Amino acid sequence: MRQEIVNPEGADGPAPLQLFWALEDKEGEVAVQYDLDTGEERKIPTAKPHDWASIAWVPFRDPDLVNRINYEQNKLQNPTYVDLSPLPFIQIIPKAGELSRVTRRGYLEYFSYYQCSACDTTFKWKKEDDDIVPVCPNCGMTNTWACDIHGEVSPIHLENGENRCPHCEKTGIPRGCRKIRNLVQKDGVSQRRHYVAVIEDKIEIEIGDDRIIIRSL
Amino acid sequence: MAATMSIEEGNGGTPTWTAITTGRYCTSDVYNPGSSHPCVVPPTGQLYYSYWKSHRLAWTGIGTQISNIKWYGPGGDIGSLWGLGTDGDVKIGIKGSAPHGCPDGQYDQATGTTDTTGDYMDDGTNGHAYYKGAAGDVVSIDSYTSASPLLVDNNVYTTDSHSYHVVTQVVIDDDATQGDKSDKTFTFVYDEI
Repeated sequence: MRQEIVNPEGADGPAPLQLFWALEDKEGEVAVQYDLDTGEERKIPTAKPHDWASIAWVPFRDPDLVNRINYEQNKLQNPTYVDLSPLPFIQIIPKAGELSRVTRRGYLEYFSYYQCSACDTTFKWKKEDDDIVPVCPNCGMTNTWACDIHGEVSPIHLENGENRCPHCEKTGIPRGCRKIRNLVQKDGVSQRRHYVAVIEDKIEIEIGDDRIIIRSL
Repeated sequence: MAATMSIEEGNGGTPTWTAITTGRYCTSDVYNPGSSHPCVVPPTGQLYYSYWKSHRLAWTGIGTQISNIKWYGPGGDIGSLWGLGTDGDVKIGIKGSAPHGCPDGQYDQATGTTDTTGDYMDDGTNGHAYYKGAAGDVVSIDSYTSASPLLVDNNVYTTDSHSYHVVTQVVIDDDATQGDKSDKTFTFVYDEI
């Protein structure tokens, strides 16, 4: 089956940040996204590619730091919360003269999905040759069909999309069936956030969704 | 600080932009039509269209900057996936070179015959002025995937704003089939810091 359970109700905003940036200049001075003592957020020194000695994405591992940051964020109108992370520490050390930068990459998806009226499971379905109708992956519910004369039936699915009553078909007077939508198609929006480190014109490292992608540029 | 992002749809002659949770195609210039104004399978020998949709990425609470705004579809043959018929497809407007999104000043309202068909984006008379004819091109979304997204907007934004628009449209052939449709995902991608 090509069903994938999704959770659109939990997708009304991006997940908390799991990594914060750290930038080391040629003199060995390190700038980080948060004041490690107070939890206050800082702006990045420059958003343009820069001649850094090293750039890094650092996972939140210290619960006290997470609490300090979230306490400070809570004072803001548009807070961005953070959370402890199992993601790895990623550091890139460019060669002298190579320009590098860090950025977060957002993915804003708008999508459709099915919701089962029997068990409320929400899932995505992809039509394939051997999987021509959606089926709830939790309880097996499908959309059903009813003939005005014979009640609920298993229709004859025609290539042109018609769904005919098998009993009426035998009488020589074809009759279409009504679909009873036990699986309701809905729409949702979800957000993901990845963490990217770039050596300009060389490589890009993208961290997120439990994997690290390295691209040559 | 991470910006709060949303997807907006533009409707009307002087567009009203509304945050949406769905990009449902229909045969009227409205957002979130529900089950109203469904797309129609055309008579033999014709193609019908949805009204084209103008979508953009919008944000508030920007940190330092937002840039590198791209878009991609579900990948694969969406015409086949949705049973849109032999020449059925989902089309997107592009330019000769990036960026391919439509700037605010070039917005063009979707037109057509309500509840029957939209005008084709590439129609020489009633098409989208920024993409029709030699102004641009109207192509399948199939080739725009997570591995090769469409560059919509290459501006660097440092204030709360929105991106250029992605303009898309469904094409329905006369052998399109009704029935349950596969789920699909359309994605905006952006860099922020």
